[in-house]
Amino acid sequence: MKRARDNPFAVEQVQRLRYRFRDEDWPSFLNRLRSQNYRGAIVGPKGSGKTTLLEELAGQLAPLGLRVHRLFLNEQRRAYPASFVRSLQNSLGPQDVILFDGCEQLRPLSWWRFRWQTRRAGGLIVTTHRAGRLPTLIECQTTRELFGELVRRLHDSIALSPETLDRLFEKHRGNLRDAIRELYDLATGENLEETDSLTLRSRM
Amino acid sequence: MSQLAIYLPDDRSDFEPMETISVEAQWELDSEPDSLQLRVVWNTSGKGDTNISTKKIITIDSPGAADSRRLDVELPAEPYSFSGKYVSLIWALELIAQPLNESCRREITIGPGRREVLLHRESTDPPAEE
Repeated sequence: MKRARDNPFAVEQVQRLRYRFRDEDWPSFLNRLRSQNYRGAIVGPKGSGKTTLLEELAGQLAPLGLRVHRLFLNEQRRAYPASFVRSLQNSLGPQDVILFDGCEQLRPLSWWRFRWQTRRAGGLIVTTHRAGRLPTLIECQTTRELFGELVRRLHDSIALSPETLDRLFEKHRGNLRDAIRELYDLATGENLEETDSLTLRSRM
Repeated sequence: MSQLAIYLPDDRSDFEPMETISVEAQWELDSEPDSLQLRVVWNTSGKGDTNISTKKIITIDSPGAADSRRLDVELPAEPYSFSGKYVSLIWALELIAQPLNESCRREITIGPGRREVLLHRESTDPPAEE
């Protein structure tokens, strides 16, 4: 059995993967962001790279002299972020940008309350599964090709049969995070049926 | 180009809990840092979220841009280095130049018999006797 630390699909390895733009690059994306006054939504289904893009965006905004404030909600943590708002509300200004991961967790009234209470912030960028809450900045999508490329980046000596890759992509409906989590289990060597199609070769 | 290095006694990387080791820190930096820190840290690795902890910090003030220093470090008693299917606990020494954000890291094992505790049986091991 493979030790967790040797598993090429361990979380810290996955977190090192960079977001891959389909049709543009960082300068272009940042230009669009600036032209939208740092307001907009990163839209896409689960596991399509929204959080990864938002994390990297934080690193791009700070050198521009902007103060980045990050807020994260998910299905397990969806209460109104009262303490976050309280701590910022009176100090927000044009240099403050709020990066809000998971804004769809707020119900419509709570969302509008949040917008009102943070209206002095210079920017508000959110991730959401569906368009509509702010103008869409970018739509994150996944493909089988992207999945295969990320798997190869995680372990350059991995041979994964195209059938297994397709099966995982379909099973998780394009959610690459969940597909890679299943690869973690396969790589432990426990699931012998699937391990037949997942060959980890050590480089000599 | 800045360089930092950590040298361990006899080039070993596996140690007993609470063992005192002599660590050599070497640095050659483009500019003089305010300080250098040798940190004894652990992190988890695996399927779940990563946890990290800093157990000890030894600070070298005004270290100059290039030099080396031998430091005696008593390693922590616990937790032991361990690995299972879903999580590993990995000890490391880190040398960090402040505020330059230059650093290097050397992973080590801390455990009884200088071995990582395995939470699963190695496939090559013979079955345990009843």
